Amino acid sequence: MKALISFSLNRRLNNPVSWMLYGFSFILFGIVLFADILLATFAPALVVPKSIHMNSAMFDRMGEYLPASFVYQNDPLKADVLIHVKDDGYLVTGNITIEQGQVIDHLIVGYHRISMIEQIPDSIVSLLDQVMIANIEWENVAEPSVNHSGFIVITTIYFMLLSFSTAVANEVVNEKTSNVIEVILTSVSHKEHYYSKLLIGWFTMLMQLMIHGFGFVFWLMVRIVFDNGSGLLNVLYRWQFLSAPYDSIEEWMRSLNIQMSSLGIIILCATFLMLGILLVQLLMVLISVHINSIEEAAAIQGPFYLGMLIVYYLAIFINSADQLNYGWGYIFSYTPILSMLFMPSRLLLTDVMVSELILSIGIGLVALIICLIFGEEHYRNNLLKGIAKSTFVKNET
Amino acid sequence: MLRIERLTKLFALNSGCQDVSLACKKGEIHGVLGKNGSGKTTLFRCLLGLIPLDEGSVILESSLSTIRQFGYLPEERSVIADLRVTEMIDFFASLKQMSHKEIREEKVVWLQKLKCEHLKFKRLRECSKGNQQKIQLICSLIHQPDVLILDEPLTGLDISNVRLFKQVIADYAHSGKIVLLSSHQYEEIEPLCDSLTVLDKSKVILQGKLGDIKRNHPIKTVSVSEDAQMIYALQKGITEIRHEGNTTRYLCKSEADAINIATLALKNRDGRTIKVESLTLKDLLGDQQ
Repeated sequence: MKALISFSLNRRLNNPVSWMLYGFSFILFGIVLFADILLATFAPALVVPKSIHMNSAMFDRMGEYLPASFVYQNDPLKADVLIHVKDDGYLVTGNITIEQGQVIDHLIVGYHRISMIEQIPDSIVSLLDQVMIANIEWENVAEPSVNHSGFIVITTIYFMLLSFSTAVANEVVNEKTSNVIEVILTSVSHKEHYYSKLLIGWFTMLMQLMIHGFGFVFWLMVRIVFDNGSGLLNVLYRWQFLSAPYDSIEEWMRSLNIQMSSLGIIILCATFLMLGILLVQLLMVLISVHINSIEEAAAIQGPFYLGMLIVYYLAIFINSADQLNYGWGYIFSYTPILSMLFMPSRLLLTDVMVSELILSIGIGLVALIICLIFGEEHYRNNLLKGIAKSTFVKNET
Repeated sequence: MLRIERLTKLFALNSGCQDVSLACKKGEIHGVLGKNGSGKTTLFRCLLGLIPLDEGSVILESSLSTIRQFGYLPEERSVIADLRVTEMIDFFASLKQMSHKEIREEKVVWLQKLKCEHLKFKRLRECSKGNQQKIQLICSLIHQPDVLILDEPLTGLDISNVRLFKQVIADYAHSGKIVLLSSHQYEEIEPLCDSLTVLDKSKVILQGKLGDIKRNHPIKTVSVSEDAQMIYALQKGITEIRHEGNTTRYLCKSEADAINIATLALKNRDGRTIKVESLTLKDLLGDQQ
């Protein structure tokens, strides 16, 4: 079995296409983590802030609101953009984009309102506040960011499932169509072959994650040594991907305030993902023993992708706390295969009891064990079907 | 020693093999012959454990681990086309739990024996059918199994490769191993086989040492080339006349009848080739089936 697994892993991970992908992802991670440096070199307009000049009264009031895409220039002759205060309004000169123009527009409107308000008596300002500002209190409202993370998790799980679950089944089909299976089975038992296929799927997934992860960590370390990631974080803040400026990756990580409970949820989501992938992989392998040609394999893959797409949209559709706690979402969170999408959604959106988690994992495990045990017999009886001179198997009495 | 006792594996319509018994000693080449669908491949697959037996037993006296006891060359091409020759050999050898050192050493020996050194780094898809067959043969015997099973090993080979295969198979058997082979090319395997089993409709219809079978059979053959006119057709003792190209083969009742015809033919030779033969495997099987 060891030889079978190492051979298959070697074929999957050590081939020209894989090496090309490793190289591509390695370069991509480098580009992403050094995006600010590359852009400053090749497209400086995107990352170098515009220098802006305004009178001191305006700067005193609005300086702190100046976005990161602008930097204040004291000398009007050296500034890219100039804001003149005139008797009847404001004059802006300089070469700017539409987006930069909108930012300056907001800045001037803000300054103008503050200046006007300062000239109005306090009693009228207080009255205006009462008219303009309504006091709203929110209670039992889910945080939008949590819904967002639910969507991200569902999509991630869905694509991982699609990527990894069919790969092993294709290998079985390939071995059958090339008649190699008959020779392999003279050296390993059906049982070993069966379990090795499942392990290969898992190992492939883990090793690919490790290989690509290594590329990411390598560039991350280089970036930390280079400038602690401050340049990149600065650009991300300037582009409004980050809500606050950070000086180092460490500081940004600390701001995420990752708690043990969040880690627990991530680990549980990963557990449901692994369980689901293993189950789908197993079912695909069991289906693949009936496939005798590449054409048949292609015919089966279509409905499989469609089915998975339906499950995906179902998970997106049933993505509210109510539906997940009381509706179909609740039932699906205990249903094998579906639980890998619905239980992580529940974990992210609602409070799930430990007993519910144990029940869901238990049902998933029982389904997996049942499939493994019955699948082994099914695999043994059908693996040699359809290979050359195998009519004897088809006609078995 | 390989002993198969009353092996039965039947499928619908009585296909498969029924009540097959045979014994092979070390160093013996045993031919398993029969028409298509007579049960040869089923017998091999049962021996290899690919399909379970209905009845009977297979006993092999061997000092090797179970995984290394058998080597198998299937009739159909079964190569991983995108692999290089050495990669495929490495894979099948490692499945047989050979160490890296063993694989390295044996690979060199067998590639040399089968004249494939130049193919080492070629992908199998780039190799000819004959060369792919050679590589498959290496994969089946690199671990030096006690029993080498070859299902139609000579199919699709050119004359020089047939000769090479026969030589390798004979040498392998002489090294104290058992070779079981099936083929439709009876003329080619006849000089190789020490004993044979003929299957027909799942059952054994003839079995034994080739010499014994021939000895027990009264018919003898005289072949005369450039004899389209069947000059000796009216001689006594002829049971059957067969044409093969411009050669006529007279199958006689007894050796005396055959010698009589051969003597006559020698007298009127006129440049013709005259052969007095024992019964060939082809004749025998043609006769039996």
